[in-house]
Amino acid sequence: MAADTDHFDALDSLADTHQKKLAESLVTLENRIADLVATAPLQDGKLFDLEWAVNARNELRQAINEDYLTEVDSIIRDYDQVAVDAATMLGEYGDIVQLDQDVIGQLQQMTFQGFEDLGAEHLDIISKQVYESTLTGATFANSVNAVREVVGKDMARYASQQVHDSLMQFDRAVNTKIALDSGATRFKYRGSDDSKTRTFCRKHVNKVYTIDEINEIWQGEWTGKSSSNAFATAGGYNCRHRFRPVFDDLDVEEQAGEPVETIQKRKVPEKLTKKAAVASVTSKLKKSTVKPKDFRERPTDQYGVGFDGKYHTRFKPYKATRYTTPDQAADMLEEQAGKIFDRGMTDQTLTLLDSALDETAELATKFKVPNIRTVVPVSGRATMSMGDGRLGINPTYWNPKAQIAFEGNETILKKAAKKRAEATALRSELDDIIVKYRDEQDKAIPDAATLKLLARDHKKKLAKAKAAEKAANKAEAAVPAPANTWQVGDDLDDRPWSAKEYYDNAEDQFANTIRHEFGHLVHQEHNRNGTEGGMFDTGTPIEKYLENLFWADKSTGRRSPVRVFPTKYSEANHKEWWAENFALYNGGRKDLVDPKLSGLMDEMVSKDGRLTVFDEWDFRRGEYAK
Amino acid sequence: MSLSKAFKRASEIVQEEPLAQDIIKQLDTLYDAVPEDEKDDFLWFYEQVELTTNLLVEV
Repeated sequence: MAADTDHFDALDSLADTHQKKLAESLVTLENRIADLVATAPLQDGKLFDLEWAVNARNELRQAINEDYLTEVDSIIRDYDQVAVDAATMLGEYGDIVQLDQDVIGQLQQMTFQGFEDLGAEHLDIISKQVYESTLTGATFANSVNAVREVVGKDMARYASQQVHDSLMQFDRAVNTKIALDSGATRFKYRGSDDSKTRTFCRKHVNKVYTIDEINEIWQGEWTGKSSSNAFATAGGYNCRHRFRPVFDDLDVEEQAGEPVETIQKRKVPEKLTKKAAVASVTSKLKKSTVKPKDFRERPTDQYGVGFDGKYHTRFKPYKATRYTTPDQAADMLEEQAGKIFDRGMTDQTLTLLDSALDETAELATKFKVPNIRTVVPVSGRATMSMGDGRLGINPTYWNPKAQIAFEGNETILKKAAKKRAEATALRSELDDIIVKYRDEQDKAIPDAATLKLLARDHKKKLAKAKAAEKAANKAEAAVPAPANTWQVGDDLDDRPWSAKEYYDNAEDQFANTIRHEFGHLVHQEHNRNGTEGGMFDTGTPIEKYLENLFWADKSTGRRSPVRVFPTKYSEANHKEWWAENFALYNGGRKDLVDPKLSGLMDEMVSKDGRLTVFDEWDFRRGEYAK
Repeated sequence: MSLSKAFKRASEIVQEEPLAQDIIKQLDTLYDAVPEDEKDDFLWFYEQVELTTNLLVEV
């Protein structure tokens, strides 16, 4: 293996060892703190002694120093050898200068300080937790659980990431410093390319760039990015990649052709104003729903209407109530066709929609179905919905994602951080209120009015804190995760829940969800005859075919073992299975599509008119061909 | 990754035929109970049931 690969593998292995050692020390720390809480004086099984709680901080500090920081110190001592190995590895690629030992010492010192900060932060949290448990008279068991939660989960999670990232950053810093001092001007992005590799890193791995090119690329945004300093943090949190200097042209040619990502990221359209976006969407909807006079004579009857010239209705139109009759529904759909009801949708969401409608117009032609007729806000929590060509969009869900598509993650993460800070401040005020409330209670004659006011203030601020936390969670959740890399044949547990998770950016996820909904439109409209719907809805001919393929035994809920289910959600039922496959087929991921459905879609696309007989199924009658 | 009980329960009730009359209400309750990292996936249950609950039936 190449010298750099050997070095990086050894480093990955060392990072694993460090994480394991630190995890063990945190288990010891967790047990020690639990033992400490066990020494707290109890009254009726509850903590009560505030003086003990205050003094416990000293013992907690000592425990953190002895169990956590001692282990960290031992881990960072390993960095000496890492620096020696890095220099040896770089020596394989050119003449290098040696790094000053003082620089190595300073880097180690700074790394240790980072762990000290983490320890101090958690000392505060744990001390506060113990004090609060005592103040509120928590039971011993609850107090221990609360402390274990902080050490065993929160602190362990942060420390584990920090121990990994610190080692990688140290190695990167040493590498870069030696390289620059040795006159390097070009660097190769090196490291693994496997299922854990984020899309950004996969795109650049094994490529050679100049320093200026690196700085320019790293100004961009991607999921998991932690800073724009490419040489220090590479792809971001938990990244296993780094730059290695290139001194030899042969080194460039040898590996520059290695494979990179295969999916082209969707281009974000130029943002329109809300007025322009609504006008453009309306124009597209009108164009796709205007019925020419001879529509019934056209071979594929692409308008999906009955003999009265009205659209077939199977679903409730926008603003329908439980009392809306089918006749009224048909009139409502007719009236709503060619319109968008854009309530709550931002200019950014509308721009993405406008762009997506160009794609659905092409899909409508390819799959011989009417295009989307109207766009409305969804009535519930679904992110999107479809019925009779009525596309429902949930602005609450999509607006933040659309914002990310146009502005990158930063704006939304700033918003999340602001809300998080707001919540923290409110939580602190709540703590003060509790103290004041208890002080008042402890008085010989507590003032009822004061207690009532404090209780009211507490309730109000608690609601505000919860709302701020919810807003922060929501904003953070809008940031897409790295794309799922599951392939047919891999472990089924590793599949994403939905097809949009095969894409790592908001604009592609939006487009994928539109395609999923359009997949529903296809099974609802292709060869539709107007008799579907009603109390005993039997489905269109294509839906009956799909149902036949999907189930091995519907009565027991057993799905066909020979089908490919590219996402967990595709296992829900035959319609969702189709919609997920449809989205992937038309989204550049045919490799994930069930072969039977892929064949069906190929047939639909290549055939001049609508399906007649395929796979021995009569797609006009909805039964096996005789 | 193991799913929460609330998420698993939701995946069961959306498979029932016929769907419960108050399916949306049941989903709302379960949605509030699932952890934050499952909420995005959970929203698909609403999409799934809407294909049935949104059917136009004669009253």
